[in-house]
Amino acid sequence: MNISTTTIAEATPNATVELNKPVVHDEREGIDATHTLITMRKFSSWYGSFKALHDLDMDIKERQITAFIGPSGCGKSTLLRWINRMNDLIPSARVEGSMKIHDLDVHARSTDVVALRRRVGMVFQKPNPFPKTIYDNVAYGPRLHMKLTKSETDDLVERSLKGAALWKEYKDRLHDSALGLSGGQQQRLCIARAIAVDPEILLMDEPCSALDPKSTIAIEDLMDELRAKYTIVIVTHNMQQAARSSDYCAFMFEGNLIEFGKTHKIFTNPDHKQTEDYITGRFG
Amino acid sequence: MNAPAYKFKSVKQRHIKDRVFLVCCLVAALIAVLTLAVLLTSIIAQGAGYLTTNFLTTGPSRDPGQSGILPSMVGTVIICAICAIFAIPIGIATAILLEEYRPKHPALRWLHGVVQTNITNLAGVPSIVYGILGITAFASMFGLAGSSLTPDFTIGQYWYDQYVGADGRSYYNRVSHRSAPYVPAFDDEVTDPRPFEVRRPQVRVLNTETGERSDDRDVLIAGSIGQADGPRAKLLLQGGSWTLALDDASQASVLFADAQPGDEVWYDLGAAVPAKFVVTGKSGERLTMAGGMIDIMLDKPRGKPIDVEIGFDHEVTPVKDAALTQIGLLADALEESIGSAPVFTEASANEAAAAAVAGADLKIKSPEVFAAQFPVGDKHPSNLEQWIASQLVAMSGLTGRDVGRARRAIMNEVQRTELASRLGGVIMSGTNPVRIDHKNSWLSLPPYLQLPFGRGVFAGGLTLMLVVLPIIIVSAQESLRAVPSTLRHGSLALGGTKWQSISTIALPAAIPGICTGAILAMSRAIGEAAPILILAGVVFINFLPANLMDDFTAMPLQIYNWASRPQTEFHRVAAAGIIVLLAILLSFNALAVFIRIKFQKQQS
Repeated sequence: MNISTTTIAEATPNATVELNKPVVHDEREGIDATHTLITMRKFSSWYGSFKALHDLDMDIKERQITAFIGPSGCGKSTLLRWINRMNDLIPSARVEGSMKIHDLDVHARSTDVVALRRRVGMVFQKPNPFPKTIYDNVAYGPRLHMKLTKSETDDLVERSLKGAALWKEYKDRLHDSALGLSGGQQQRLCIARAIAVDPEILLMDEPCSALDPKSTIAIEDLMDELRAKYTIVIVTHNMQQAARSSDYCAFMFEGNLIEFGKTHKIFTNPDHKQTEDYITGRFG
Repeated sequence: MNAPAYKFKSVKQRHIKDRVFLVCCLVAALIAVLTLAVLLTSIIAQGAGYLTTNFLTTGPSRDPGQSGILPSMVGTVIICAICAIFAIPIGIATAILLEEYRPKHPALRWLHGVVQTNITNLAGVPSIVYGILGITAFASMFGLAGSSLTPDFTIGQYWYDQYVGADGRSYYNRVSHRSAPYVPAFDDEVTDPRPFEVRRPQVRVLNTETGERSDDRDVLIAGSIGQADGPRAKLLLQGGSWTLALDDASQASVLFADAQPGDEVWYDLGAAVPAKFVVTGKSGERLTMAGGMIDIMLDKPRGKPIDVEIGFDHEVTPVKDAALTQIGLLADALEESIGSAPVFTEASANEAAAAAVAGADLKIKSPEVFAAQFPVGDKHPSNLEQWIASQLVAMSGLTGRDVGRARRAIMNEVQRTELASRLGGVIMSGTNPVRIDHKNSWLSLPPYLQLPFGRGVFAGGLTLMLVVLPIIIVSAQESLRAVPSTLRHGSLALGGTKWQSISTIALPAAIPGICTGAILAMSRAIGEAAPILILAGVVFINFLPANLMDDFTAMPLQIYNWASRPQTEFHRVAAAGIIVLLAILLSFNALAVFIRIKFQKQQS
């Protein structure tokens, strides 16, 4: 923890973390906070015979940033990957209980995973741009779902890049390879790629863990802009990041949801001793 | 803190070991490179002299200086093309299924593992095994579609077996140009059916009684008897009732009618030689004409009634001898006049005999006669061709069909000689009936397909496919596995279906590897000899395949053929063949490198 704090403080003096102060996002509290988008009830999951998640109850609010925190192996990534059913790829993984997006039962057999993933975009831990041009990367998602003319594609790419605040930077090098970008740029491109299909929810699985502090701040700024339009769920190991950028925070430990609530409450006055121990760096 | 006194290795010694290892590696590499260099040098030194344009544009010959590699080169190219057309899509699709669509159900996962293990193992199976598999699966199709002699299904056979006469009529020649024309082989028990292969007998022949074509007769045997070793031939009728008649233009005489099974009939040939005869009977019956003359068994016409025409018995020894003598004289005469002579083999004597009999007489009695008809001093090929053409006209005394048959026999003979390129056209087109020009272009020809495929180029290509398929599958799987799964996940997370993520992400990223693997597999296919040897045998082939069912040879076989001959000149020809093969291999590998570089550039 200490090391991480120092690094960020050094790199970005303005972003010094003060846990005692209410987080800035509280000002927006009244906007959508009442509207629940994702509802989980008694949600459990297994890998084979190993129970990875234990009867979680959680309400994720619309157009808010919800952060999952917890030590490694606590199940936060697993939970995240169940929201767009990426865990379907793991043969032994299965779920019980319910998870709904609005009224859509995410894990029902009748739910089309392709349509679901269009509504729930995802950004991975390691930037994974396709070995194509920047333009083709952004246009990739829309092309999967729609028949587009050239001008429609151009338009979509421009809007997506603008949405990810990359347009100014990239408009002249749209046809360069995406692999030539730096890690932070690649990750922002992946975000642009994800929002190009116009999802409701954006899942981010430790999006900054492979990035340097400066890129991290850039991503966080971007998240701050995106929350006006999208519901963002982020998994992070970085306490400061969770404190800085999220509205809600879920602390998980060994597959259990220990505490879930407003970020500022969790970071200033947690109900559970375990939560306090974790966020203050006493364990984990 | 006192560290224990560790004993250090000598730095100097470590450096010495370093050097020694480097030297060892150098020596090992040198041995390998030097061996290769010596090998290549000796091959080039031996073969370079024979590597001329003539070598690349002609076929094999008795004369090393005249030998060429064209038919085997074309054969290799065609079978490799067929192999690639089938093996690459099938291999890639299999690799995609195995690699990208891993099943979830435990039982299916087990099956997946079994298939995977087997494919990996198959890559190591000796290719000769695939040759045997190719014969059963493609050449004979497990016997499910008849035999290659009597295929159940054919398209275009009629077209390929006919001649168009100058009079505009087409003369049907039921016997393929790749088989001995007059040797009946209706008995499945023939141990080596290859030289005796006769296409499905469905030719229209005359009903000797009415003079018209008759479909009433189920089986009809027609032929001519030139000379016999005795005055009589014995007909042994083993089943059904048969009629034997002399087919004489003036008087059709029934020699024997309604014979009962088991009857033995002696037929006096004495005065009638040369004579034509016709035997008619019902299909499904078995007829043996024994007595050192004719041994014909008609069996298994496969359902529908057919007309059968059978030519000569290959055991007509005196005729064969006479024909050999005549052809030998022709060879001598040719050698005397143009300095080289055709090669005749024992196997070709049958055809020669048939030709001699069908054409009554080649009218070449001796070199003196030949020299008188063809001035020795004048070696202009066109004169020679004229002369042979006139001989062919002269020898054809009878019907158009017989002319065609005789020509075909001579053609078969001459095709195997260095005269082929010059005489081939003349024999077929310089005189009355012309052979349809097969060499125009494959695309302009009607298709020829039969089931089973027989031992032609198509079966050859498919057999090679069996050899390279495991290699292509394994290499394509490796390439797909090397594509990071994060890329696939990226596509899936955007709402792509499985196929969308494969076709737009995994496959393009894997293409350089797949191409390299496929081309390396193809270069293995080019050099593969064993399966082709099993399928096609070492045969003397001096023509290009006219259709997919046609006979072929391949470069490794041709090289093997040359290298196994006693004359050292042919070893040099073999070396020249090896140079050509190496050049083709090298260009394939260069293509692989080029494709890899090109796609890698595209992707980065």
